[in-house]
Amino acid sequence: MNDFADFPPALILFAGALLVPLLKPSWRPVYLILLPLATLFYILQLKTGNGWQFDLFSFAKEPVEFLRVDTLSKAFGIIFSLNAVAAFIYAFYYKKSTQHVAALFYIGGAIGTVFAGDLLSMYVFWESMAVSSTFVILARNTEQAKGAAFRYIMIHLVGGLLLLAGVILTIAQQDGSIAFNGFDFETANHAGTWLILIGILVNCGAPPLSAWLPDSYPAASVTGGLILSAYTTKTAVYTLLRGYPGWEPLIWIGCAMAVYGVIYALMESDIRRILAYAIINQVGFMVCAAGVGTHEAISGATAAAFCHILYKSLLWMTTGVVLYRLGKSRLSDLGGLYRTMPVTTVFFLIGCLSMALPGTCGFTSKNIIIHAIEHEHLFWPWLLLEISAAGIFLAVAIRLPYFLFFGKDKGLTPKDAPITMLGGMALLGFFCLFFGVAPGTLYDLLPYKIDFHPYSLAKITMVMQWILASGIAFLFLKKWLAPKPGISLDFDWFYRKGSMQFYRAADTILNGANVLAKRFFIDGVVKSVCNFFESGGSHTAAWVMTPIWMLQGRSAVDIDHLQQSLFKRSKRGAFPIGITAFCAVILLGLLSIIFLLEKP
Amino acid sequence: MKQDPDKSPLNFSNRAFKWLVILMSVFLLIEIPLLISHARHAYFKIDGWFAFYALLGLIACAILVVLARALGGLVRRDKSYYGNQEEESLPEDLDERLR
Repeated sequence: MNDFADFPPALILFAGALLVPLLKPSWRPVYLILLPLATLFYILQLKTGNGWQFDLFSFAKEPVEFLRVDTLSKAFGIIFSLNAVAAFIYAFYYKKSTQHVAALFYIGGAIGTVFAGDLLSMYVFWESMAVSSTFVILARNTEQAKGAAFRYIMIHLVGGLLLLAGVILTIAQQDGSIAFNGFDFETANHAGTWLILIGILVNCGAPPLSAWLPDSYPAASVTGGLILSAYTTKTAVYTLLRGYPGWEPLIWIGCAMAVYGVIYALMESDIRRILAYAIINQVGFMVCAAGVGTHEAISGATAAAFCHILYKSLLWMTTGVVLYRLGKSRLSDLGGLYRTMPVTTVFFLIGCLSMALPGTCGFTSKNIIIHAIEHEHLFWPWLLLEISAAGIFLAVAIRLPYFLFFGKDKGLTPKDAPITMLGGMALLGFFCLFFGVAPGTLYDLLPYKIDFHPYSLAKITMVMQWILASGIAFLFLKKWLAPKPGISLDFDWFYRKGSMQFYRAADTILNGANVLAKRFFIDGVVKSVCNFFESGGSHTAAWVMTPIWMLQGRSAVDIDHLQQSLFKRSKRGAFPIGITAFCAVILLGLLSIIFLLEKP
Repeated sequence: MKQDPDKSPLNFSNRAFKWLVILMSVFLLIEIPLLISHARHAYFKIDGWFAFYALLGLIACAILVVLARALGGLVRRDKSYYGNQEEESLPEDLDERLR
């Protein structure tokens, strides 16, 4: 057990973030690199156990626990802080301290979530992540970023509320226990756990709750997008591995994510949107592994998340250099950049080949998931994941470098990456290859020990076959894969355009109903009732009196005159007292008769 | 007439990519004897077929590209569809002296 001196590692980043604005701008970059580095070393020395427990809520059975260290949380904590170090080296010359503060809170929130010991502490860090990441997007301060940030926070607030509702229901279901361990699919299958699951799936980017990802990440700044790409989805994967191992629906959700991600990645023309869809695809593998839930699958998903952060961040960095140098992100505007950006091209190739090629971290990690699925004899998930693995390799590792760095020369001559950006890329590139050639180091970090040997001839030939096949497919389908102008509509259409149409429809239907109701009730019924009370009595009197007057032999002019005077008197309430008293007596008499008749 | 390099297979605008193709072909030449000599443990019958993964890769890519193209026809819109022209460039992001 950890003693109280072992505090949650997120605190280093939270406290450190507060000091950023106070520092001299020239000290800031080094300080920003040292903070996650200190967090990394602190996490590495943490021992397995729990700590920082507080009795905060009377309804909770256990104290709220802000530190739970085990192999699963440690693996995620290590990669989160390592990636932050590389990201801040890359962003060495980025000046806006607002983004740095938001990014540190965001990374701290992500690290806090993976080390949170129960549902309540997890929820607190989870929400802090949603809020701070919105500021990371906003930091770019353009109209597009503001719009994307608004949509982002809306979706994440909905996800967060679902999560909160789920947490409350689950605590009630668990008789006040706030424990967040693996929910059993058979016994803990209730509304609470499902709501938590939906909340987590929002952050995973599972369709149809996925469009926030390709909408918001490319809207952030170069360094903001890089930082965002690593944490939200991977934190969600962690919570699935922690809370939902063996939940069968996740297998199919993961497959849907993998296929959806790859189709959109093949269709897109914007480099950062392609990478965003590739994230959804790769996270699909991890979600699927969480659904399989065996020890090998959990370890495989952890390894895949670990390596995915490495190579996907490297890809965001290299494409970020292109964006930074040229200000262009559409494939149709780019091409032939390898001539003037050879080092960036090499790092890009390391990043994209790291998705699958033997000798890279993608080969040694993702195949554990495939192996775990094969072991469980899940034919369709296996087939769908293999298909999307080949497809995403085609989209990101062949199509993207071809049209971006090779392909038709568009006459662009940007300089290669600045030295600090290269530093960040070199660090991640090194680890991409290191965990590829020395997978044992990676496997030692995994939550469960696995008996997996990636470098068997069978596995190498297996992967090389579909890698080469996708290369050949590219040669023949190149024409169809050429980038096209325009944008691809995604599920965000429903709230970006659909909501406007919903608003218009609601406007027409509800306001139409309003007008009809006004016409019928206000102009019709109410007016008639008013008329009745205003002149109903005099009309009744005229209706009774007219035949009497006719019998008296009065002329038509006379009768008309009498009627008009009746109406006038009724309006003014100016009937002679005698008549009024007479009518009142008659009315009382009638009432007495009715009263007497009623009595038995 | 010079053909557009992006529109025909096996014809590339630059040497670097040509080298990649050659490298791939060399891999393929090494791969085939390995495939013949080493049978992989099959979990689902079909994965034990000769060159199953090559076939899977080819068919998978073909299907996905066709699907992406078909879906692209349905969901592709002009970039000003959502009102705002997509913004580009982020030169303000980093220090001027690096540029």
